[in-house]
Amino acid sequence: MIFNEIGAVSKRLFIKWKRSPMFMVSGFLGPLLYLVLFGQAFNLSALLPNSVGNEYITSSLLGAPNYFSYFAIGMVAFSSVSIAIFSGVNPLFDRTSGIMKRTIGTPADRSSIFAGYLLFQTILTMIPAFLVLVISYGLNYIPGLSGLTISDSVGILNLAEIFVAIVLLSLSFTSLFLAFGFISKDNNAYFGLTALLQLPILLTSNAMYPQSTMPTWLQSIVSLNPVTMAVNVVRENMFGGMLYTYSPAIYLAELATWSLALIILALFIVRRSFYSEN
Amino acid sequence: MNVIIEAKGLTKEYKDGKEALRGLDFTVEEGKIFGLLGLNGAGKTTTMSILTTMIRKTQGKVIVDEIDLDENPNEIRKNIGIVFQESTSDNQLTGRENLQYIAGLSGMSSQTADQKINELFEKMGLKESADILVKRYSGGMKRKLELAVAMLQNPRIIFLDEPTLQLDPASRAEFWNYIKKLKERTGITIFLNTHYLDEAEKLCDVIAIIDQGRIIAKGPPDIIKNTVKGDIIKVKVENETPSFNKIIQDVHGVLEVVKSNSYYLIKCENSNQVAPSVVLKIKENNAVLQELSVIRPSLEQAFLEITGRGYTENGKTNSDGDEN
Ligand SMILES: Nc1ncnc2c1ncn2[C@@H]1O[C@H](COP(=O)(O)OP(=O)(O)O)[C@@H](O)[C@H]1O
Ligand SMILES: [Mg+2]
Repeated sequence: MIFNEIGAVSKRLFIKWKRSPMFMVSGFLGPLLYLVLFGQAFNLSALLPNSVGNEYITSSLLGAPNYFSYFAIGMVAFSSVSIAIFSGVNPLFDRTSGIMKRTIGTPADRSSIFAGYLLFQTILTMIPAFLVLVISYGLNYIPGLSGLTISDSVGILNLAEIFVAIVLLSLSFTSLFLAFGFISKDNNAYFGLTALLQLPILLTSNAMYPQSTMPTWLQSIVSLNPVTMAVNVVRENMFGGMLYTYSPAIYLAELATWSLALIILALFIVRRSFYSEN
Repeated sequence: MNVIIEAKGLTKEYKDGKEALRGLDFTVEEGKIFGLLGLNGAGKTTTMSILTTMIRKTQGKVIVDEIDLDENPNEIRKNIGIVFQESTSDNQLTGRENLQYIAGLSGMSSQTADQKINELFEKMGLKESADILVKRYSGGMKRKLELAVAMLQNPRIIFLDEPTLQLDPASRAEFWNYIKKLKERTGITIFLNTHYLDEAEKLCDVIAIIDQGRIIAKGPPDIIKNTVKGDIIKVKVENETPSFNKIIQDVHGVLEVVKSNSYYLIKCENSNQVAPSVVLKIKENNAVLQELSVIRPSLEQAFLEITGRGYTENGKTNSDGDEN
């Protein structure tokens, strides 16, 4: 019954997405460009004198063998955020087109309706993360480009933790932006807000730069950012965890707390929006 | 007769302080077409939105199909179908996909749904268009699709909010026909919001006239019509004296005289008796009678009178453009 309802919502969104996948493409292109332009051009090691040695670089990059590998994982997380930002577009359009009214006028449980949106949008949000992961690794095979270099000991358990981290990260930001989409009065309000949030989310994380090089006030914000938590889980599993304060399990727990809190908050906001009178 | 919808002391105050409903009392009998008739802004959509659990009421008691709105709003949605005032279909989906979507949300198994969907497309004459995108549908087809959606889970009551708005006359007539047949075939109860008097008169068993959030008259169309006393004699004269109005007023049986454009509208209890006297008076006055016609009581006239908006030339209402 509940699965019927969740499935119905997700399926409709999927059909629509198949017919115009534009948002997906444009959202995904940004991180990809970062990856091949910024990631390739910015060679941190080249700035340092030879005497410093690889060990120093590796320790500043928390175990990553080179800057590109460090940065690529940051982009894995960021690509999800870039797509998550569009999560609210469907509910926003559905409200203006009237189909939302039709939807909440059915006997379906209103939490299932939210769950249907969340399911579809979360899956959509996860896809680019895996694509970026695969593409960065694939760059190893293109002569003249640096690719993602990972530790030899990466196994199935590491991949499982990485998977869970990406799921939790996607759930967090998808919930957040879905809620915005449900309550935004118009497109401008929504896109204004999301444009405002995208860069701060990226820059208050350790996606692009090591946390240790930041001022202390920023460091504490960075530690609270779900992007940092997800990135830490992935990096620890890819490069080894000696240099991290916590084990991946702890970061996963923090991340799970975030996503749970954001899902509950979003559910609350969305359910309220179903009774809004305009 | 079984009462299927009951509202008592229903009020609605919107967040901005607007009092949209100021204490409605009405009952709807099972198997009847109940029409809520009123100008734009009278409170029709608000009433329907509350009954269908789309918005919250402020005060009052509502029972829909034996379910108390305060106790179990979700249960109410299982027994009703809604045709909203605006289109609520997904334009990027086909008609069939729209129905499948709603079927999924209504807990129907896909077999039951597919069968019912085919049946509905057949009945509505939408069979050929079932698998094209709704954005290619005409206005009339979209309305039918909305009705199909509302009928999907075999509801006991359907709510129609201005269902023929923006339809051409032929599509309107077709829609009315369908509704009538539907009622006869299934015994379904229909709650209809409209500001079209002809629609209310042709379709409804019972009408409640709503004005500024209050119900000011209810009953079968015939009975409401009879609340208006008398006919209107409409004359056009030339060369009348300035006191013509007063002279006609004094004719025995005349209730009121209003000059509207170049016509005198003479309200009287019985036009058969009064008209000859009026003609006589015109002659005595040396005025020239150019036109004379009699307007019998109509729902339109009753409506205008009951809502206190007076009667106007040839009964044309201003309801089409009146916002609020
Ligand atoms: N969401 C809302 N917020 C504030 N006032 C509203 C809202 N919706 C309707 N109204 C007001 O309530 C009154 C009744 O509106 P409505 O029920 O839509 O009338 P109708 O359907 O008869 O045209 C109108 O004055 C309208 O402006
Ligand atoms: Mg209305």
